[in-house]
Amino acid sequence: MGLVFYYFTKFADHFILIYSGLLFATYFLLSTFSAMDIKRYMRRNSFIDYRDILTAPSAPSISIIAPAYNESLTIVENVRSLLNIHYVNFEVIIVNDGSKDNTLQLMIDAYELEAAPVAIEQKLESKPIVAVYKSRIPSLNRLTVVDKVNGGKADALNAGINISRYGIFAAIDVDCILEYESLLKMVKPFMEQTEQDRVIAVGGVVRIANSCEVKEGKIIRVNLPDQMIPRIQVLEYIRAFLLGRMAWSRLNGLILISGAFGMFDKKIAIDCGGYNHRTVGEDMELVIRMRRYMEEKKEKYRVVYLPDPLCWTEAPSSLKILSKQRNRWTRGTAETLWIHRRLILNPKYHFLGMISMPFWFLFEWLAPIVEMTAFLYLIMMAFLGILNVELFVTLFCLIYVFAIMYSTAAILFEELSFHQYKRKRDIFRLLGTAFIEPVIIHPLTVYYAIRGNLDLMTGVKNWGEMTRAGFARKKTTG
Amino acid sequence: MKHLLQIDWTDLQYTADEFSRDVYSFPVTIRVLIGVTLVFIFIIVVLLGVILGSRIYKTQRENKRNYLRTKYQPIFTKLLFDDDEWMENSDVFQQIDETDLKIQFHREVLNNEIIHLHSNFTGETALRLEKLYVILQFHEDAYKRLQSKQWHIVAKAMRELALMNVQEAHKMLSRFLNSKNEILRMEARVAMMKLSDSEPLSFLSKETEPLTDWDKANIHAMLTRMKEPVIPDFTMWLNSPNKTVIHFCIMMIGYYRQQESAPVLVKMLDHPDEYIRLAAIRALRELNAHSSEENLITLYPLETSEIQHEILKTLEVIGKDKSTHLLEKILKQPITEYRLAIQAVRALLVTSPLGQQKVKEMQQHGEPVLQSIILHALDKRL
Repeated sequence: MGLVFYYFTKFADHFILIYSGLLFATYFLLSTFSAMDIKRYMRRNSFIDYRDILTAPSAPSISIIAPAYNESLTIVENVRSLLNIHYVNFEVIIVNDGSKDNTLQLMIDAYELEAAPVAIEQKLESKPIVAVYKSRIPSLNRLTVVDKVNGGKADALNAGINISRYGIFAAIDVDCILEYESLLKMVKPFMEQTEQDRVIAVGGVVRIANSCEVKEGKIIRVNLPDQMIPRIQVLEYIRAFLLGRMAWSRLNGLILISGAFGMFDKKIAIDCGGYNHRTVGEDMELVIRMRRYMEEKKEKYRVVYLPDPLCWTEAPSSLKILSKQRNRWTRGTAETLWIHRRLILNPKYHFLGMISMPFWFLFEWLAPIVEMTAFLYLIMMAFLGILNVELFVTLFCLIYVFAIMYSTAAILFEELSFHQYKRKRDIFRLLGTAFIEPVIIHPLTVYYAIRGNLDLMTGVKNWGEMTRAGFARKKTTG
Repeated sequence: MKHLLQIDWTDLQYTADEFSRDVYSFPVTIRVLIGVTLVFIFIIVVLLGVILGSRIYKTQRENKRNYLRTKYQPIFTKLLFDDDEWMENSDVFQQIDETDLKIQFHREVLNNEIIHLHSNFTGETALRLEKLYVILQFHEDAYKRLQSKQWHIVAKAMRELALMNVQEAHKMLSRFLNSKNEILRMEARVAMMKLSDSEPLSFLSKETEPLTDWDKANIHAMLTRMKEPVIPDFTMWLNSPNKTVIHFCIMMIGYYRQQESAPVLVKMLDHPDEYIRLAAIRALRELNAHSSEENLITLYPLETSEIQHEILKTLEVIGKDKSTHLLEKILKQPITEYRLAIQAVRALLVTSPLGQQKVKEMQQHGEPVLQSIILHALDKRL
């Protein structure tokens, strides 16, 4: 028994070391690829005039689909912001997903909506549509409001796709604020595709708008959030988007486009079945299914990510909401990986099967579990009085220092590329956040992820309501 | 205070020795971990240095830029709103500090300001800005940048020279037409279009690489920006071996309403490539080519759903009595695609009085699905 325990502890020590080493190496590689891709992107687009798209007969038409659930606080302002997007041929479809508040009535009143006799073809499964509204005002002809029975975000998006008219659709969270040229930038990769290299989806960097100055649905001044929790998320988002997803885009291995803002080839999305109702990670699931579909058809394709800050969203500012969000993200990841488990290490799916999926399994889904297990293991060893204190302390220091280094690298990328936080104070606060995040919020996010997995096992399926403060209510600073 | 500043080097030496002895007493794993941690700390320090350095550098540049903008604001205002006389009578050089024309960054700021203003103005104001650009010899800077080994700098210089209409750059750009870099190639083509006196699109005859929609947008944008656009007869490229060139030309025939090209477009309806046929049908709609009605009707049953939809949209514009039968047939068959049925109703409503009569009948006696489709089609907002 003693020998077994001895080998168990040896194995555990080595596993933790090897896992950490692999994680560091992977993140290092990803940052390198990210740097290369951001540099390439900035060079390619440093001299072009996106306005050329506006007059081009070859510019594609876009359907913007925004599901709305209990958004009465900000809906009128948000719809106005979407209608003012700088593009030529587009429609805005707001899907009221059975809101319990007066979201629909506010839109009816503000935009003079009336029921329109739309014949809807159910290409994708969705809950019944109660009514479709169009405005009496001719200048608001781009706007369509769909009122449907509540079925969740995926269901609402499918309803929006069914009603959309154009070949490319942009799925967006209705409370997001889009940058002025966001559609022009997002549509460019679709315009650059060739017959041999089809672009099936494009994602853009999502940034956090808490404490930013917002006027008439536009960000007029970027500020770092005053509150600690959103500020930490700024750092997380910069890391995830600038260091992570850009690298996957470069490697053509990206499997997640944020649900907050993504653009998709409608035909491919419909052919592979649209958004999946059975998961709360519908954004990731759709990208994987589209990729899987293309792999099975043996067609060349790309999923592109743009490093430009194109979309601004409000991040949770309380631990309660953050816990719900992280819990849902974990369940979404786990469900999606389970649905597509056949792809993992399957050479038939090339990079998707051999690299992307195993990475998400090992370093995204499994990482919090490994962290928690390692923590419990250390407690157990300490309790038994056989904790290798030197190993524990040095490993802890190494991981802590690595976390700071990685965050600092992300801040550097941001500073050298898009330079969004212009005030000196902001950059120092961001750097300070990098030092405290690993010991304050990170343990909590690990805990939320574990809870997410437990909830998944016990059958929790809900999305978890997200309460927003709303941009309109924010104080504006001079 | 004096004591505080006095460092006991012996003590420090002792501590360092102790520390290294302690470190060497650890197992290899721990030593490696400590080593890696120290490397990471070093990297953090370097990264912090770069962040702070970059911030200081950017702030200084921004301040300088703002200073220069404010300084030259009156000159630019005069340039934009006064007449040509001001430029002819006054020595522009005297208005601008010699130092600002000598220091590279200051030149860049002035240059960018002129280009920025140019992109927002047309007509005489744009011409004055072009003149100032040459007077200040910024085109010479662009020529130098054409020699750069970094392709994005070269591409930017080409775009700038074309935008500022520097005719003499034409010859210098031709060498980039065969560049291995696709972006340089395209920028050279677009720039040469702008700067050429005649046949701006001659490169289309030699184009072997596929043109993306983005390339087409750039070529089109440059065509619209040309002072006196020399719009060629696009049918001359409809036999090109490059189908993306054919596609672009068909689009341009429609865009520039080259009515005389309609018969050639009708022939393109037999092209083996779906992408070309689709563009030809769209162009026929833009040309209002009534003569193609019968061809489209014949083509309809043989086509893909995408093209069928485009045919119906075109019939809505050019269709007459001849289309009625086809459109009625589409609506009497089981409906497989709503968008085709909706478009068929729309076309039927405008092709002939008989068509309107048929729609009324179907609205009263048709299947519920068809009735809902008719209601949809009748609503102009949808």
